[in-house]
Amino acid sequence: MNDFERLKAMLRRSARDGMARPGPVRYASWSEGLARILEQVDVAVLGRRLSFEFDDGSRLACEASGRRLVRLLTPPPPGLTAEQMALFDRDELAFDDVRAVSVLFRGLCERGAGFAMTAEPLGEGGGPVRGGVDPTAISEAAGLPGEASPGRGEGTGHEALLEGLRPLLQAVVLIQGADSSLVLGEGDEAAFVVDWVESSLKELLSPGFPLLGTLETNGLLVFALPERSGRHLLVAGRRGNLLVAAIKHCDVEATVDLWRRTCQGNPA
Amino acid sequence: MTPSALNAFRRKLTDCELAVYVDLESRTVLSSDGALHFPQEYLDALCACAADLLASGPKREGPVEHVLFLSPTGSRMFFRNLAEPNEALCCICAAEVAVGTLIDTARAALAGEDPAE
Repeated sequence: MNDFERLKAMLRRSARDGMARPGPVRYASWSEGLARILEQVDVAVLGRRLSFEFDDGSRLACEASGRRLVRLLTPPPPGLTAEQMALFDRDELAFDDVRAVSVLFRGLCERGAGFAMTAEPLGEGGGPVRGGVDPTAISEAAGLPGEASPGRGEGTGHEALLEGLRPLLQAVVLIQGADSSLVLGEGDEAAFVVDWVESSLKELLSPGFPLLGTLETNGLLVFALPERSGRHLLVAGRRGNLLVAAIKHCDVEATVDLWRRTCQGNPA
Repeated sequence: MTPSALNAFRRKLTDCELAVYVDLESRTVLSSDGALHFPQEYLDALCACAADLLASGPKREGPVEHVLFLSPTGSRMFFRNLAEPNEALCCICAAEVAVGTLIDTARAALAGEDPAE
């Protein structure tokens, strides 16, 4: 997966609604079952307790927060190895646990062809976490195929916006809550955008900024720089996440037109 | 930028509901022209946005020339006066405003030109 594909996968995940869907799940293969479990972890932005009851009566409960699998809750289901049992003693799962977690989930999914799922919020106890395991890492450890590319009209508006800007993109930073990460670009261009985000933009986009709510919902900010800089900057918001990009050339009108076509469905 | 120049600028743009000329350093509204009467608090908030946005560009690239803010329900545009960098023209426009025309018209107005001539 190259940087651009990774960026698009992040945007697709961030565009989901963050709501787990309780109820029965049927699957044709263990890999499909595992994918459905990881999907529930991946949409758990706020802390939630997920419980799975498999066809053979085995039960597994876990906590997910910040789109990460944070911990497995006792009691463990029967028939586990010592290594798998040890996972239930962890205060927080860590990256080193990825392989064992993937094997555990695979084994549980192989026991049947479905599970019933329940999800409940963790409330005050579900604050930000530093540990936990990324569901993508579990998926890769289990050898699941990568996320399919969206077909025509299936990608998010921000994906389409970036596709349209792709030849001109110098660097891209994704801001999700308090976290920001460089997802595209390198060298001076990447350093330029990261420095701007850290030194100016985060201060501007504080809760006191009156346009922040509109920007985060579905807005666009374009900064036109002096012509000698040879670039302009955009901040595009969607569902609380902000995409920050440096774009070659100074044609801000073209950038706005592209945003209207891709993120607003407005050809004007 | 005189009140009459501000009025002439806004009348050239059918999608422009409000035009405000501000001092960025003192965060003061110098003049305004709108299709409706906007309360002073609203103008002050727009002025503060202009000051914050135009001051938040990358430091090593030189002053930001203009900032465009667009949403599904409307547009807010902030143009620094390049001859008087502590002053700026702010506009509130319809969501579908023609951005290129607006930029050209604003730049001409700030330079004291009439783009129609």
